[in-house]
Parts: sequence; structure tokens; C-alpha cells
Amino acid sequence: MIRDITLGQYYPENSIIHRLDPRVKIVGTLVYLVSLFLFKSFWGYIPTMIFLFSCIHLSKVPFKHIVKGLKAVVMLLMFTLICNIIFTRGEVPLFEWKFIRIYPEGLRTAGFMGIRLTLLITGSSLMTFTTTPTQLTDGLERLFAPLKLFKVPVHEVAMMMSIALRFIPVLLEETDKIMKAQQARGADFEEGNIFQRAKAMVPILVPLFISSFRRAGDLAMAMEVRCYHGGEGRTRMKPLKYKGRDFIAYGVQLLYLAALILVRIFLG
Amino acid sequence: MSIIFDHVTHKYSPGTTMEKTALNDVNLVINDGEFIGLIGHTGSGKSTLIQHMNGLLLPTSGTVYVDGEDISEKDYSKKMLRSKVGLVFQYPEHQLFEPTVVKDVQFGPRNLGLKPLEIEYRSFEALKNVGIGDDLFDASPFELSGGQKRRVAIAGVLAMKPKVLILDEPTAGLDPAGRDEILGLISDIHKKTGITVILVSHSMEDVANYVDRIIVMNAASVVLEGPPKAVFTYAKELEGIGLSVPQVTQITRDLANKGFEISPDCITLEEAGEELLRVYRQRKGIPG
Ligand SMILES: Nc1ncnc2c1ncn2[C@@H]1O[C@H](COP(=O)(O)OP(=O)(O)O)[C@@H](O)[C@H]1O
Ligand SMILES: [Mg+2]
Repeated sequence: MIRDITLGQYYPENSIIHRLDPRVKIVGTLVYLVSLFLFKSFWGYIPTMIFLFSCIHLSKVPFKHIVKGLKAVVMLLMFTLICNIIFTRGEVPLFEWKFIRIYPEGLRTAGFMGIRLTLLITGSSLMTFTTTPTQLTDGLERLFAPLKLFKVPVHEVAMMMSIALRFIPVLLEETDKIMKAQQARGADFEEGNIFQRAKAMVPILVPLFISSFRRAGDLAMAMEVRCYHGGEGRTRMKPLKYKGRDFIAYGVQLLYLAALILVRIFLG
Repeated sequence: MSIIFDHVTHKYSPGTTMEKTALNDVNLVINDGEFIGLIGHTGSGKSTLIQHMNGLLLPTSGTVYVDGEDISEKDYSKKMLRSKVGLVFQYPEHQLFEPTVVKDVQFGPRNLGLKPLEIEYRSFEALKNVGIGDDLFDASPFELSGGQKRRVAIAGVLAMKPKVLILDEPTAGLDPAGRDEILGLISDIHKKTGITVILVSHSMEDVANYVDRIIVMNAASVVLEGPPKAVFTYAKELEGIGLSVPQVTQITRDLANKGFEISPDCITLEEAGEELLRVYRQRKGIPG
């Protein structure tokens, strides 16, 4: 069912990773993503994997849950792998069949890409598994606050983002209900050619749009009656404050980067 | 059109941390032409139960038989099932989508692949049956009042001529007058067409007046079933699961407990009124 998509949905737990300041986790994720592209040899995977698995272990998110989240992107991964295997050219082909030639270089790049992408997706979904959408947008708002000097509407963008994130599960649930209501009247979403299927979406999309507009209107009204008028002078109920553990986490990130740079220098 | 639930269990998201048993070993028989009230507190599994009747959900274990056929069978036609078992969901906003009321009602019959003339005839008939006048036929369904939207949604299912009509909380969010109108309408449909009607509600007041049989659900199981009077003798147990007997029944019962010679299980206001008058006359010595 459409509701069962887990990719990146918050996983409630009480772990050290969950308690970290969202800014630390956002910066940490960026550091990790960059680090994945720092090295060229397979040696680099040792520190990156140790780091990721330690974080997963600390976060107490079950490994099974993370793997389940990956399932959603398996198609994308397969596609990249196959493209890499087929289109990378080298010297001596390993295997030839009609116009398909597979070179050892292709397999190597595909292997590299596959592991890299998996780590990349796992790393960033670990952040969303352990950070609520509210915390995430709070963190982003604070991190990007300096951009306000250049008239970037940081608060507004953050507010839009948190509203959007907040409504994803609501809209998924609503879609599910609408689909059922139309199926009860004999609608069929599985059969027919692509045009018939596209046409079959109309009875879902119209009620969904209408209800989204209604919800948006209601929400705007509710915000207005509580005197919301943008970011200016607005204080927070739970202001973000760094604690001891957050500085330690920054330290760990630095150490990790240093370790990777050493790998890069000495092992290539 | 009988519907039989044989040890039906339904789990949402089975095998995950979000696993939720919404039906637990339910056994039920629904006979042809019955008018049934399905009652239970919010979250007790009513909506899950009725979605098994038209195959929107299939049991995790156990079997649902419609007309003697197992609906989980691979080659069982869901489309045919849905034309026989009509389900009207709680929120009409979830199904109205066409630019006009008539067109929206025609969506169901069109999906059945009927001839244009038949489709038109059925839609007019269904709208008439739910009391929507032809001045509203070409109105946009989104401009209607809450009660009218609900009627149009019911017409949209009636136009498929189902043998079983299921209504999920058709009175939610209506004012008392609108509620009585809709309930009266449903009762009329049952009388006129003789089809099986299953009325889902979380309030006893809604169903007591109309239905032949009440099925009470609590925490994913069917806990009580029988004719209204029989069910209302379990007032204590009903209270324990967040339900109550109708106010009139409560009053006549309290009076009986205080020593008045009144029948303790009046269901409708009229019944209770007559009983009260009778007792009053008796006390004053006025001949009835
Ligand atoms: N699509 C769904 N996914 C997961 N859980 C659900 C879903 N639909 C209902 N539930 C859960 O199943 C239980 C029964 O729900 P439901 O059948 O809607 O009850 P009712 O209609 O009596 O209020 C509730 O605890 C509800 O949270
Ligand atoms: Mg319900």
C-alpha cells in the first residue's frame, strides 16, 4: 500500500544520535557525502563504512528498517549499475555479445558507484530517520540564517518546507482513502494502456487537489488568527542550543575527515 | 447475497514495527435483506471490517465468502463484487470529482460499462431516490451543503444498483436535523428496495430506531450482536467500551429501577412516550 513507503520517515527512538542538535546532523551528513567522493581506491571504504555503521549502531534504528528503506531506490541503483557496466569503455573486453561489450573497468566503476550510492542514500536517510521534520527545518533555518543579509527569505523557505513535510503523510493517507472510494465505484487503476491509466488518475487527483487547497486555506487562516506574520521578531519555544555532546560530535566529524584525508594521501 | 466472515483477521503493515491488528478472528453472517447497525468506538475496526465486504481489503488470514464464493480467490472478479456490494465512505469529499452532480453519479455505472441511456436513467433515478431535485442536477458537487454532498455520494453508489449497501458513518459531522434526514432516507431505501443495508456508526442513538440487528465491535473484535433490545440489556458492558444505550432507553430503565412499572427497554421516543403516559394514567387512576 502507498502508506508503507518508509524512505526517510522519522523512526522514533531515544538514542544519542536522535538527541544531537539537528545542525550537527546536517553538517555531519554533508561532511559524509563529501567524504564519499574524496578517495579513489577501495581502501577509502573502510573508514566510511566504519563511520556509517557506528552511527547506525548508536542510533538504535534497526538495520532491517534501513534496508527496507533502500528497497525503494533499488531500481535507480540497478539502472546506474547497468549503465556503468555497459557504457564504460576500456582496453580488453571481458565479454562480448552482439553490440554489448563488458570491460573490467566497467565492472570496477559500477562497483564503486554502487557502494557509493548505497552509502550516500543510507547516510542521508539516517539523518531523516533520527531527526523529526520540525528539527530538520529548524536546523536548516539556523544554518542558513546568515543568508538573510543577502535578502534570502530563509525563514519563509524553512516554514514552507516544514509545512510540506508535515503534510506528506496526511496527503498519502488521503490519497489512499480517495483511491478506495473510487475503487468502490468500480474505478480501475491497474488495467488499460497508458492513456487509459492516465485518465483513471483524474478521479483521484481532483479530490486530492481540492482537499489540499482546502487544507492550505484552513491552515493559513489558523496561522493568521494566531498572528503569524513571518519570521521577524518571532521567538521559539525550543531554541536550538549546542550542548557538550554536540561539540564532541563535531570533533568526531573532524577526526573522521582527517582519517579519510590520510587514507587519500597514503593509499590513494 | 449473504456475506460470511470465517475467522477473519486483518493486520495493517504486517511484519513491521507498525504492525496493527485491526480485525481479530471475526466471525459473522449477514443475510439477504437485513438492516444492520455496525457500532463501535473510533478505532475499533468498523471501517476495516466493511472494506472486506467489497474486496478493498483482503483478510490476512481467514476467509470472506460473498454469495458462497471466496473473495480472495485469484480469479474472483473484484469489479463484479463492487457492483454487487456498494460502499459509501465517510467523507463525500473523497469521491466527488466531476463538474456536475449528474456526471458524478454516472461515474459508477459508466465503470460498469452500461449503455449511455441506461446510465442516464440510473443516475436520475438514484438522485431522485436520495431526494436531490433536478434543479441541482447540473450544479457543481462542490457547491452543495454537507448533507447534500452526502446524498449525492450515496446516489453515486445506488446508481450501480448494488444488492448490499454499506454506509460508513453517514451521519458524521451533520447537525441533528441533517442526521435524521439521512437516516430516514436510508431507512426508506431499505424499505423500498429491500436490499441489505449495513449502517456504520459510533452512536447507538443513530441506529436504534431503524435497524433489525446490531453488531458491536470493540478493539478489533465483534463483542455483541443481536436485535437492539437484546443488545441494550448489556448497558454496563456497553458503557465499559465507550458506548451507551440511547437516552430514552436509559431513562425508562432508570425509572423501572426506581420501582415504576414501566417497560425498561423502550427504544424510540414514541414508545417511551406511550409507556410514560400509560404509567401516569395508571397512577392517577385515569382510565386509558
Ligand atoms: N491504512 C491503515 N494503515 C494502518 N493502520 C490503520 C489503517 N486504517 C486503519 N488503521 C488502524 O486500524 C484500527 C481500526 O481502524 P478503523 O477500521 O478505521 O476503525 P473505525 O472505523 O472503527 O474507527 C485503528 O487503530 C487504525 O489506527
Ligand atoms: Mg471508520
